[in-house]
Amino acid sequence: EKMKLYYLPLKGRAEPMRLLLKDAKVDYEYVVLSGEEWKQFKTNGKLDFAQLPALEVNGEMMVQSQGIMNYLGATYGYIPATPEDYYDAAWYQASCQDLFKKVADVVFSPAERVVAGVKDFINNTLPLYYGNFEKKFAAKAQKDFLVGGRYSIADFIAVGTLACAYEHPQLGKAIRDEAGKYPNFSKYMEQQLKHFYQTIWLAFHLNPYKKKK
Amino acid sequence: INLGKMKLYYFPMKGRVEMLKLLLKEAKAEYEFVPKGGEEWQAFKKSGKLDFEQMPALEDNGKFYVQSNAILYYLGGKYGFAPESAEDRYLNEWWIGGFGDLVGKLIPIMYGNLSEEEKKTKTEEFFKNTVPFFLGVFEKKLAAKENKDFLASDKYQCCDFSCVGLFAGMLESPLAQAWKDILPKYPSMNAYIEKHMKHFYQINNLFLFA
Repeated sequence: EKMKLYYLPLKGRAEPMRLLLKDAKVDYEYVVLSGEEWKQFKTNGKLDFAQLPALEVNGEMMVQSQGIMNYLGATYGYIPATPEDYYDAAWYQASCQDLFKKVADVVFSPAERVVAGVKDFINNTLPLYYGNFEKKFAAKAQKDFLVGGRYSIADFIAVGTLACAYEHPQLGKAIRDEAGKYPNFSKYMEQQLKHFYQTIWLAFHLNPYKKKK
Repeated sequence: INLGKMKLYYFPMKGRVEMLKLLLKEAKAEYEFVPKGGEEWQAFKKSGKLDFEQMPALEDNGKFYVQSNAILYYLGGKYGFAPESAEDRYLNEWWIGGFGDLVGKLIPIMYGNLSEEEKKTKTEEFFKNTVPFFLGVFEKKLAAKENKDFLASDKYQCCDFSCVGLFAGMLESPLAQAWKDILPKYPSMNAYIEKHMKHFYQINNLFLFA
């Protein structure tokens, strides 16, 4: 029985698990919920917490994206083996959880607040997070993956979290303008975006997750 | 080279460090707790040693570890409390995420610079609506388990330290009475907390924990 991933028609909190499932070549069903359908889904009694994304596996409904990521990571072999590497993965996981909220603030803000939001992100958020990512990443001999020399939950979480920032026309451009300050991590991100999305420039308006009529 | 004992840095309170102390206690691991408050904390913050200028921080063999949940998993891996199966990993994250969300709703009330009046109102709302919702979900999950002595597995794992550390802090805070009033309505959770409070703090009855 195929796994079912329930979410809204956007990258959001489901993108990291989509990237993992893509790399693992898992055949699953992505169930797009409209606003109205989500309202009903919330009250169907199957969700522990009224949250999306939700992953249905063998009749069990899982919630909390961090839990789902670790479940899928363990199932398909993306959990780093050593305590040191596992710490790094957990560090990226915790950092990206905070970072996602800041990205979402900008990406989902109304048109009149975008300019100020992008400026604030570039001045305050980006230096803190990319500064730390660059520091951690620059120390690594092998720079194709974040942890342990191969794909791990850290990569899917980082790329999945930041993809919606890079695809936003103003925020994406502003982040790329700063790439020179964070050369290693920026290069890693461009490599991964190309690998997963087969394009250097993501098209914000071409939403692949919108329901087909 | 051994650069000496592990060091755990935090403010002089339970907060986010207590779960790490409980893990280390259960592991019988030697470490030094280095409280940092006021000016000492400001200096430590600016020392460049902490990635996000936050505590708790763990110093192990000359390296600094930050982000409380990442440290929890690091120590869990070191001392045999890390979940291994896919199902256990999901459950650990489920519980830890749940507690994080619950605390996340309380923090703006406690530390959000509200007036005394607002703080009182919001705290009442918290215990009237938020707490029953979360405890209800937690109770359902734990009550469905065969072994109710541990949250995920049948032995201590990271999520257990997260839970007990959280409630130990709550039960010695100004909100202690509100928690003591509400917990008995959730018998599995109440029994679990009592059992582990006894194990870690030698407290026989939650109501006697002053």
